[in-house]
Amino acid sequence: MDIAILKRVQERNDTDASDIRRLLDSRGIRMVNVMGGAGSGKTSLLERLMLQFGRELRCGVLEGDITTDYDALRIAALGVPVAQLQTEGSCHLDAALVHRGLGVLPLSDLDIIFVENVGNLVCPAQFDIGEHIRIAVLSVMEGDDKPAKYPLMFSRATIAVLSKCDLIDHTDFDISAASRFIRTVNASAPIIETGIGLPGDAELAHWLAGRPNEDEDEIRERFATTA
Amino acid sequence: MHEFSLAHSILEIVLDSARQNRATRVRTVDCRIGAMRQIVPSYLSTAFEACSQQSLAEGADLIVDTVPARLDCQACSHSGDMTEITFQCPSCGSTRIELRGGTTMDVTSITIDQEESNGHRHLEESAGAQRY
Ligand SMILES: Nc1nc2c(ncn2[C@@H]2O[C@H](COP(=O)(O)OP(=O)(O)OP(=O)(O)O)[C@@H](O)[C@H]2O)c(=O)[nH]1
Ligand SMILES: [Mg+2]
Ligand SMILES: [Zn+2]
Repeated sequence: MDIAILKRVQERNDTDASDIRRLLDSRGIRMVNVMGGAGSGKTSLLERLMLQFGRELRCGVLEGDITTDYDALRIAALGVPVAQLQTEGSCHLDAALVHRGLGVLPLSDLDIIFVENVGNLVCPAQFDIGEHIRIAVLSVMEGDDKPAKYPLMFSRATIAVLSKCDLIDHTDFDISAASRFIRTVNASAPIIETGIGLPGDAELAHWLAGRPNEDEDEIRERFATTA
Repeated sequence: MHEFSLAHSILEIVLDSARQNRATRVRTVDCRIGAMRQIVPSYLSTAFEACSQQSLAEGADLIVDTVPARLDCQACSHSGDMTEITFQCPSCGSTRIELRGGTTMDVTSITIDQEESNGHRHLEESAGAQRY
């Protein structure tokens, strides 16, 4: 006997993600999902953003890692509230795990929460974790073809960050090629070049501080699951 | 790797529906998955096989129907479906293209063997005999 179902595979995760967004919205907190390959510079970017924000925005961080807490310790050293999410082997964060992490942060003292996802270009992009803004980080060490090889992450990004641009002269990375690949799947995300000593950090901080949160409808559209 | 967690979510949906329909066994599971997802169907099947063991869905076939992404070429104005994601227009070879969609991920249907209404358990022997 055939049974018609027609249910989204990620329905449960998406419901959890919407619950998180509702919780954060009710407290006026925005959440940023920072995704990118292993070693692309996600934690370093967060460290530099924390310094950029200073007292202007009260930040909290959730650090997703498979087992260690090295990244959480780096953030804690800056005096920023941080909770560690250990995925225990899983290649991505999901909304349920993030929800637990939020329970550990002092939400009443925060304006913005950064979630550093597990370092890889494929899996994290599959899951809505209740964020308002998604940053896809690609370092110039990884090659300018990566947005073409891993399009989902870049197609869903609210901002694309090209990181370690201070090192670009030592690589064959072509910014216009990378940008074209990103534009192919994402018409609107700003593409920001960051790196030690470059103005991109300030630009990104400014963008994050000023941007109104996308509402649930806009986010659903970005995640549109009907082709 | 994420194939495992997706397989797990698929299994939950399948088992919910199987129980509601008094299934004694799930034979096939049909899914539609967007090309942009870059899911490897054979990984997904292997993952599903592993996580469905000792459940009503043990041994069920997972059938993946790939939903294409949408391509618009700005050079030759070709528009079409793309089942394999490439960054070139299949018609003129230009890289000035836009890709959209292809992110669907649905369980569409299952085929089950069902308990008979008199309460006796019954295993359907000839596939298709009881399809309605
Ligand atoms: N020159 C230069 N080096 C950088 C920059 N950002 C990060 N790095 C270096 O790149 C290495 C990896 O940086 P992390 O910030 O740990 O990268 P990550 O993405 O958090 O790594 P995982 O969490 O392990 O995936 C470190 O040695 C950093 O010092 C940058 O902008 N310029
Ligand atoms: Mg890190
Ligand atoms: Zn063309």
